[in-house]
Amino acid sequence: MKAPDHSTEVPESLQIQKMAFLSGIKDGLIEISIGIMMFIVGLTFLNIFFIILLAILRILWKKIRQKIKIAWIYQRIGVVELNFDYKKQLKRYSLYFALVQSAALILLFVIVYFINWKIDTLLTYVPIIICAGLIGEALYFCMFSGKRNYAWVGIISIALAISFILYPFPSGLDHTVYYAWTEALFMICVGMIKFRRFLRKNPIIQEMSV
Amino acid sequence: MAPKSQKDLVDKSPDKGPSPTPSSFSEVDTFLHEPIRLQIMAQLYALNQADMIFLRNALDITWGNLSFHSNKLEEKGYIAIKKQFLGKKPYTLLKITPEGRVQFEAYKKAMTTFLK
Repeated sequence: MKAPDHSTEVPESLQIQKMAFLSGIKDGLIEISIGIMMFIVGLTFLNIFFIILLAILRILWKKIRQKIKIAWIYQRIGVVELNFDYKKQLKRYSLYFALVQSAALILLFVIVYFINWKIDTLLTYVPIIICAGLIGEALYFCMFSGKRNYAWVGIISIALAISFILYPFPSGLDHTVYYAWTEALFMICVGMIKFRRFLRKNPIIQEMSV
Repeated sequence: MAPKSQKDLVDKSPDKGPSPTPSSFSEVDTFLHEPIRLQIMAQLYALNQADMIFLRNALDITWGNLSFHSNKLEEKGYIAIKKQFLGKKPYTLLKITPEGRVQFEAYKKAMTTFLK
């Protein structure tokens, strides 16, 4: 067992913030939520009405996650709130990434309009847009947690996207739907494994009175 | 025989560059210099707020130590301790006060100057 370090050497503030950010994401709940969202995205391509379910889940997810955290997470690793400046950085990154994704979507529509692509051809390449979103998430986790392991999510997403674009499916829709569902399965599996490991490694701690 | 004062020590070893003078260390807040208090303050300075469980995990210290030093810091007005409920479970939230923030920054500055 590692001996506790009680030296006067103070860790860097940024390092502490990264550790705190990591403690908030190591439970695997984010991966599970992305997986569920991806599954519904796949359904939405089959039937547009599933977009309502997607919107409801997006709105309710914060409350659901908080309930799960109260029941399973906080009693194991505690509660921490990130510094205001660090939270501002996180939001800024999300905003920039949303702008890049929107620009990519607009570009895709411009290509369809000017090159006169068929919708079927367009759907063949939609996995690139979905994959870009997952790469953004992976980079976000890498940057703000300081852990490079999250890059694997991005790398596997790229590999899956290329495979599903190249595989000769009968229709363009199949490329997108099967890719979304495979990603969903992958993310849910990763999330479940992380959640299980998190529960095993972090026993419940009873807080002693101050 | 040991030199009578720090001044003698400085005067007798001019080749070894400037040595720390008592006045430079006197600027360091010795209350904060205690390792556990310093670690608690460093965590709370970097984060907005954290509870006892998080701090205990992050610092790898006993409940007794954490409790004792948090109370000391609260008595000094460096941190604020608040008891709250999450669902049905109680938890203790610690937050650095503006005074604590100023003192921690002053400590960092004084230590940097002293070590230079």
